[in-house]
Amino acid sequence: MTVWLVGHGVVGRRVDRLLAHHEVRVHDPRREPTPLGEPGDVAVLTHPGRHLQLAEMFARRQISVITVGDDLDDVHGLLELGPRFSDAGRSLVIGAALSPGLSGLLARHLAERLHGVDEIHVAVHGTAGPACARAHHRSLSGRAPGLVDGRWVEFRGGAGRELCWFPEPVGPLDCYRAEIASPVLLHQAFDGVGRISVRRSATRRDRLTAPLPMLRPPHAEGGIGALRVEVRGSTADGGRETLVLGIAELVGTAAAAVAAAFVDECAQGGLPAGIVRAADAGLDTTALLCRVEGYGVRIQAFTGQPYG
Amino acid sequence: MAEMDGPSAREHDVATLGRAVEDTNGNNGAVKVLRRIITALVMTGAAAAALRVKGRGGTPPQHGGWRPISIADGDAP
Repeated sequence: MTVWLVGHGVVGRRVDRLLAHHEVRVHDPRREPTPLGEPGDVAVLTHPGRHLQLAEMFARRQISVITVGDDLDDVHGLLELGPRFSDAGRSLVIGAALSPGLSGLLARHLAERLHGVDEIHVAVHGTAGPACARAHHRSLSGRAPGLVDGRWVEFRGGAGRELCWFPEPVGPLDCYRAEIASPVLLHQAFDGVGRISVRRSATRRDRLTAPLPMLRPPHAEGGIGALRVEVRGSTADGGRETLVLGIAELVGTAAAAVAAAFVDECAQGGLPAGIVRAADAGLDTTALLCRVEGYGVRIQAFTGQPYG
Repeated sequence: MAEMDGPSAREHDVATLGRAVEDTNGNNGAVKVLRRIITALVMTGAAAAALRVKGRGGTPPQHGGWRPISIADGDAP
């Protein structure tokens, strides 16, 4: 099996390193034609920008695709490619990064511990490489979908401040609604859930300058990022329960770990044909999370009280 | 003229005295407000100091209460 890696930025380089046990070939679509590939091959799309066009090309070659993007329009387009991949017996994993990606895996893991799920709230802090930082900047001025009482509401990016407590050393940060594809993918995986929100951390300067072009070039890589997934629901005896999981890690490292975990799962035939979302009930979530942990990402649970 | 001067002088004195009383009352009002503000500040400070010294609320949590778990080991959230 060959892993075709598109994009060699912060995430791409780490995926390359983590998948040393596979044959990984870096593919540059700007200079090379789409590889013919063989049955069982996987393409991991980590390049900046939209992934739809390249995913279509790989679908024609009957190669499974794993994307790490979070662009809302791109994800809507990718979701329409489902029949092509299922007809070819190949998988298209949409969102195998931090959020979407790990957020879905953690949400499913928490949901399995509850009798019923009513609400899912995700908060993200930090960015990976410069392309991720630009996407973060744009997302704060875009349209931010959120599910409220079973109805889609289009919020303004940068609105809806909420203080979210991330694992140490990140700690508490103000987070705002943003244009991220995660709510759409979570809603498809959790059909009956009435409330879904995804927020990302931002400073006053981020929000003020969001409608403008980036005033200075982004860092080569953001610092320690974090993810917080909160699932609210009911227990078997009718009680209310709120469960929270999170991580504090370099965003590029965590995203690469999730993408690598999906590649491993695909290599072992653990992914169904067609569209695959990280939060899908049909996946072996525990196995995927174990793989993510195996790649060095430490998952933490919020206890609600000071620890230690 | 003396009869004419007498009432006029008295009227003048009364008017002067009235203005003086008004001025005094005005000054007293400002002083009263100032005194109240100072008293309020002192009382607030005293209450805050008493709570800080004698209060039993403890220090609020400074850390988030996160516990590392291992999915592989089956740790529950």
